[in-house]
Amino acid sequence: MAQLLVNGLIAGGIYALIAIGYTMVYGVLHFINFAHGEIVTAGAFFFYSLHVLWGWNPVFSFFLSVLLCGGLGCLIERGAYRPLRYASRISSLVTAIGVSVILQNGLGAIFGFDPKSISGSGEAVVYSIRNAFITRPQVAVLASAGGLLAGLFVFLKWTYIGTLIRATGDDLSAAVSTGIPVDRTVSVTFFVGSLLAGTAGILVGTLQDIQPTMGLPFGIKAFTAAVVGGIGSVPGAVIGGLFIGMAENLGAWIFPTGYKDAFAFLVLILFMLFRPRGILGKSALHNG
Amino acid sequence: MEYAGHLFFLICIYAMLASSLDLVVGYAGLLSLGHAAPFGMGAYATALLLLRTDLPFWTVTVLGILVAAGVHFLIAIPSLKLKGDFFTLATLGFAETLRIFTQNLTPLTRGPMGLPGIPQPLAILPAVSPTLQFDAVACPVTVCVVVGLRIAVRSRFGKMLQAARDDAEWLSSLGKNPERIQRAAVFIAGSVAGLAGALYAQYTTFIEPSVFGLTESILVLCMVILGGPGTVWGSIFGAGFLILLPESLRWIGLPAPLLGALRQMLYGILLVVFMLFRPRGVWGNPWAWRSMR
Repeated sequence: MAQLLVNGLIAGGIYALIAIGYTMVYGVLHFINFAHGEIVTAGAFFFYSLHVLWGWNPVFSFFLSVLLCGGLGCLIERGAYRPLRYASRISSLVTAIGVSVILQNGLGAIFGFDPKSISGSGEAVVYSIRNAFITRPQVAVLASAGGLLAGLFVFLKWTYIGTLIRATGDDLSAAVSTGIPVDRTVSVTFFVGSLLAGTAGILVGTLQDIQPTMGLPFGIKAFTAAVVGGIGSVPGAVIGGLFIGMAENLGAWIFPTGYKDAFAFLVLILFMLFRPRGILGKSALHNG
Repeated sequence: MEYAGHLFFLICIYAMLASSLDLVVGYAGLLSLGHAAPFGMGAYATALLLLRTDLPFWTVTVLGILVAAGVHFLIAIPSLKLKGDFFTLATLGFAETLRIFTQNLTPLTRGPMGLPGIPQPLAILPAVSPTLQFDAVACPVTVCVVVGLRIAVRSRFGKMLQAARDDAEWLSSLGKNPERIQRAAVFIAGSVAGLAGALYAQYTTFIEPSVFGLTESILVLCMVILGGPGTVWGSIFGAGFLILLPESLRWIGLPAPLLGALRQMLYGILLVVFMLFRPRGVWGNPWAWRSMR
């Protein structure tokens, strides 16, 4: 039981990091960034090329990969979404699906579709708390997820650009008319969201093998987390992430593991139908 | 000849899938990422009935279509309560759930191993290759389906469907139920996709859970976007183009996994480029999606 809670907490932290990207973009643009799951994969593969293939220093590789992910997110927004910002919503969603397909298969074309490992030779340092076991990489995952989430709250609440993001999320047209540089604010939103998603990708890589196709399951679970917590709300995304992580691991007790991925879809559909505003019941970015 | 016949059959199947998805995406204005669901249901229902029962061909095909249309209709009831992007995610969710169940219900579906050795009751002439016999069936069926869809979208029903897309409130003020009309469209699209699945399962004699896959849905969506949503004819062009173009890539002689990835990338690039520069597709109905903000 304690072990399941620890595993749930770790998975939840990762889902929360990804969910924030969905929720921030939705909060600002009311648009589901379908390609967000692929940023997670990209983060893992940037780190894989820099650290494993080229043998660069892990810390440097980490920061560079994460920045590259942020840049990639901005680039996608600038090239594929911005021209359609005021077009029909269906067309930006189709574009996002296209971008997601391009990224996933681009990575597949470069690296191949077989699983890769970035955790290296795992020196299995295991700590035990009561009767739950936790490995050193898992501790690192928890610490970095927690640290980043705390940093994000500070950023959104107390920095100038964080205020701009929240204002744009409240009312896009009012933001335009009060002279907020909306284009730049949206770019920053995508940059921050992709930064966190890239980090999540690398953290996933320290725990399991990485594959170009892993973006969809992680994306769906994180999106479900965002909906569960109330899409548009950053604290909601964190709560939703933990909820999904816990539910998935506790659910594995009851359901056969093959159905694990169907579980997230089920939760997503039920929440969209019966509780579209999420657990917290508020969907607004300004509660960040 | 055999190879050309194979490509022709695939074009027929995908023309049916794409034109029926166009009814949902182009005319009803609902972006579905789950069109593989009725296709896969049609394929699996037909395959299982042919393998496990002695029912005659026509009964099996009709049952396959009904199962596909029924499942698609059941998916539509909750999904249509959701609007815009959330509808899309619900359809994706249902299709993926069906795939996961097919993969795990091993006693029934043999899971990831798929169903091999599906009988081909359509191939009655031993002297002629089965491919050509299937072509001879698929071609008139596809023509009937497409002409039927074309008649449907121009009928009263088609006009109401487009009205539900453009201004649902206005339609309800006339005493019509927009959701009911959209459910009917989903039912029709599901039965056409189920028919395509039924023919496909008998033709290939082997199916696996990937017939429910997102890749399949995205390919069909790409055909609709390329041809132009809201035209029906455009989807046939899209199907032909996207079946034949990757085949020409094959002659370059790249290794298979790389070729697969490049083919998928091509679909993605087409989606993005068309949305950015020519959202009405090659054939183009400039009115579809226009009012949808």
